[in-house]
Amino acid sequence: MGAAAREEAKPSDADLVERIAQGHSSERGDSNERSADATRAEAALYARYQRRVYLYGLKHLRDPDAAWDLTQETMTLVTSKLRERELRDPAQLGSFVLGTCRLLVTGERRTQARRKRLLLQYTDPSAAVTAPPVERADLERVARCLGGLSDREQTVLLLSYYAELDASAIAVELGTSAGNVRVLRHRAFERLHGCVEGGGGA
Amino acid sequence: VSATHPLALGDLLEYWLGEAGGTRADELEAHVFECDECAQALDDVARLGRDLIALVREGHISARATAGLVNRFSRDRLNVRQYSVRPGEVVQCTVTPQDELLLTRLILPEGAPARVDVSQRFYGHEARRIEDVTIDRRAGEVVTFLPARPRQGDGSGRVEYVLHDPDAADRVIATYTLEHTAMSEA
Repeated sequence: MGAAAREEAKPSDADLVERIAQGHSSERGDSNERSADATRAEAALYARYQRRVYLYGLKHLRDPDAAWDLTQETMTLVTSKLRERELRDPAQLGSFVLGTCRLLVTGERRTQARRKRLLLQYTDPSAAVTAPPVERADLERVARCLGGLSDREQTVLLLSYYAELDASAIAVELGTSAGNVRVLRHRAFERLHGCVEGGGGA
Repeated sequence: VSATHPLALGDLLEYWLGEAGGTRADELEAHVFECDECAQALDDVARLGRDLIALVREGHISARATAGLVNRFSRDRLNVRQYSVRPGEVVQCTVTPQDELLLTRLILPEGAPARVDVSQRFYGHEARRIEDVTIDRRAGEVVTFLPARPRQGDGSGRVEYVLHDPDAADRVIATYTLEHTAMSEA
């Protein structure tokens, strides 16, 4: 596929914003077609941003279920705002989505009442927001690839991800420097990721 | 303000693992929301972490631990059977069906070198050698954990851990012995 074709297949944020707003405009005309196009644009919006919102939620809320709740709320709210043309600069969609995440996580405005009201008022997109299952084959590949790392690399990854220790704390336990832990962690991640993506470890 | 594209792996790791400071974290976050490529890279960082956590919790990993990891096992309420062994000591051990992880603490002798290899022996034969094994320096131990599940069906037997100094002609530093008794024989 050439660059031009790829561009066509991947609409810009501004294009999505405009199509979503057009689909809910009160102007007369080919409203069915515009509505269908808006639905496609909303689906593209979800595909582009829901994983980022989920990761934001996971990082800040430290709970997968809460992260998926946040994802659903954020995408619903963003979509409703776009339908109402409340985003002044369509090129700032990413910032707008992030701002909405931050608002919902930190503000008291994140209430059950609003969630219920929005879900009743607008099309329920919850079906599009579901946690991806952890594939058994993926886990087995990760386990095999982890076994290919050096002993210290394995431990540093486990201490970072599972024990949630920062580089300084790991350094104290291993009797080394935080800088060395970061180097080890970087190298370990690259090797593990490369092995997993390459289908290695078999 | 958004960070410079493309975000470095080190930046993504520090962001995801909570080591990036307030303003820096905000910049990295803003960039991820504006950039498909960096969002995908962050997703990779997060997914591998999720998989590692799942593997530990499901008891599919055997590796070296430190106090930080053992504390996390405790927070996750994993059933961990622990044995602490001194140099030259023989310890009787077993596992029960309730055990999820088997953890062995090899207490280092005084004056152990910085770099140590561990040879794991079954019935006197080396089954595995771990070069430059991870040492919990604060505790002065080599801590090994492995899933307890596969051991429950095992018969009784002797497992030895032998510490070597690879920088001194593979000199034996210490030997630790675990006499495993199967549940049916316990």
